[in-house]
Amino acid sequence: MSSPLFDVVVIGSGAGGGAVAYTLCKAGYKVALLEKGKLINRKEFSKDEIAYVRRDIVTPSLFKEYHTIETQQDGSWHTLPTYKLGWSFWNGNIVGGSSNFMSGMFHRMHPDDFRLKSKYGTIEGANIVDWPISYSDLEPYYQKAEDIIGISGLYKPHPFEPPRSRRRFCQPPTAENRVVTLFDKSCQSLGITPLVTPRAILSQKRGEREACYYSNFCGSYGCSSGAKGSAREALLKPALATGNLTLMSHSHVKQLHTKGKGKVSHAVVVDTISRGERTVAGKIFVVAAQAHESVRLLLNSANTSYPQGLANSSGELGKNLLFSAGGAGEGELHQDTLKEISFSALMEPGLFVNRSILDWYFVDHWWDGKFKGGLVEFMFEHQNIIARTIKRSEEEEKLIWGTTLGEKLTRQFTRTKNIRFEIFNDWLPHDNCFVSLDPNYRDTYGMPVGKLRIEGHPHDLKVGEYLAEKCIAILEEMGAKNISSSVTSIPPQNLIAGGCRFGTDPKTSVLNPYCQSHDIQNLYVADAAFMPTGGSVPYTWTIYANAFRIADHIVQTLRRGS
Amino acid sequence: MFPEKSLLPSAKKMHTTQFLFDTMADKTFNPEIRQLVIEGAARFEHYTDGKFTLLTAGEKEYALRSYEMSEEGKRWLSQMMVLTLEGLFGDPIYGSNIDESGWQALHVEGGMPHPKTRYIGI
Repeated sequence: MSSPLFDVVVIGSGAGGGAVAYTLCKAGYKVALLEKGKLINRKEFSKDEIAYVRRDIVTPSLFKEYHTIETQQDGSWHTLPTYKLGWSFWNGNIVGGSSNFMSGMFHRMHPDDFRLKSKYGTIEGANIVDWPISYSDLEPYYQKAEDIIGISGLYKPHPFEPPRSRRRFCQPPTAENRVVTLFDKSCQSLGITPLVTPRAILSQKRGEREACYYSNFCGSYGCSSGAKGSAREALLKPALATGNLTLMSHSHVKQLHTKGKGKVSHAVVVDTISRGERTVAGKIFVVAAQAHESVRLLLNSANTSYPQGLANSSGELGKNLLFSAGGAGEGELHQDTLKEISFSALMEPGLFVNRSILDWYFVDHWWDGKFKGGLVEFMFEHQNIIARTIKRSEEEEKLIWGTTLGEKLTRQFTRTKNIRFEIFNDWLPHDNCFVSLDPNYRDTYGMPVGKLRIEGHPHDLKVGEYLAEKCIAILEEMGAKNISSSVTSIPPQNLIAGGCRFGTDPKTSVLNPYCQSHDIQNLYVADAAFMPTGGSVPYTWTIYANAFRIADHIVQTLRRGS
Repeated sequence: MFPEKSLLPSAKKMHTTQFLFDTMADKTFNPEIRQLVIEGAARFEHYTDGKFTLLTAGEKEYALRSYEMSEEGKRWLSQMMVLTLEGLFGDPIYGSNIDESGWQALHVEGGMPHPKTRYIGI
């Protein structure tokens, strides 16, 4: 079975694919959007912790689709499939992708993130390069994403805040818990500047999307009001309304086929329910399956014209995979020692903390030295009830049960609340962090799975520890008890980028500055895979912005061609 | 491990065993965890000569803590703990946490909206 010829075929319906589909459909082009997961609509989402957090209802079963992870132990590399590790590298395989499940802390990258090598020099063992574009090339698209996705926030000047072509955010920030009074005061007494976190969450109704209703269960869950700026709510619904979008769910792309050299002709698509195969043909192909999976698809598409995989004449495909370095920590605010605010105000559910600190994004200090630092975010411990009880059911490697557990849980849930920080610093690109095809393991569709070699650069840990110390000082100032933190090189699997570096030189990069393959003109990559360095902020705003930029280039290309 | 007269509702009252069966019987349940739970229970039964349910509270505690000393015992008990907490503090639609008793004990409310259907096919 074959389909009509689409102007553009997009693989993956998350932030990157969504922004491309939206732009092309609005410009009047016919788009096929292929998503391997199902469609879950706003009305079907719930705050079912068992289903969404404890089980894999929005990601494939690891016994059918998985990755293998290669880590170094005692000087040699060991590979284990993720179903053995219980460590999933899927992040929301439904229409709209993992943007459905984000907590929506949105930051732009700083202008100096685009020229890290020039500004901060090389670091031994790290493959740091400057980007082929500058912040000013992306700024209009950050702005566009802000307006279309709906990012709420409050601008406050800060030396490390990236310049904004329009100061005001399109909506005021989401409502905040009174804990911010204590937080801001604690920061002030330490000479630290707290900033309001921009969020991809509507504080006010906008069109078909209702305002945030402060459900208390945001990250990891689909949004039931449409306030969260997922690709599904913000981009795919309006794209469908144009009549130009053909959204195909349950459609897993196994391979892309080329017609000899220079052109992708069609995608080989498996229906994940019937297992039937079909082809989808188009003029232009955009891959946006999340960095590691986009790489796998291009590698799995190797043929006689491209024996090393598509877009891989440089041999760089899959290399310099990025995560986000750093870690997290938390402390307990206790009823009997709480300062500044009432305990009942602290316990009010649902409201955000919305605080981030950019003071250490770049460090230039007489004692500490000059280096690139990172961003820290403050929030409450996730309100997941089961997860919170599990976390508290063990002490010093021994389980707590019986009446002791009852006393501990009721005490901690009713008399304390945990405040948490998350650190985001650069995961330096290097030779021992990459995706390749596993020669031994295949998924349920018979295709080789992606093998992720994962190792962090030691410099990342130093920066992370530096930032953790600063955060701990804030928690201490707030009067938090039992403060703990963990900075490791275990990557957060939901913050993944790189593997398809963009650049001007076809010998050292996979994509050109428009994220178009150097080798194959009608092939683009529109997720976070293009990033040669990751910056020190969560990726989603940058993915949205860059995908809007790519989409404009595709529109111009199609206009020239017709 | 979740007895009467605790500040948490008891596992018996909350039908946690039924929750365990329903959850693990579903075809989407992780087969390795299913195997771990069944084998660990069999091993524990053997370990206590099949007389665990006849023991006094103090003897039960001793048996469980001794079993916890072995690596397999520890893994099994941790898994039982996780599954029980899922029942007690998961949405009432799954049959445990009856009338939100688990949530009430901790003064918490589940998020809105609650699920209208279970993800498992029963």
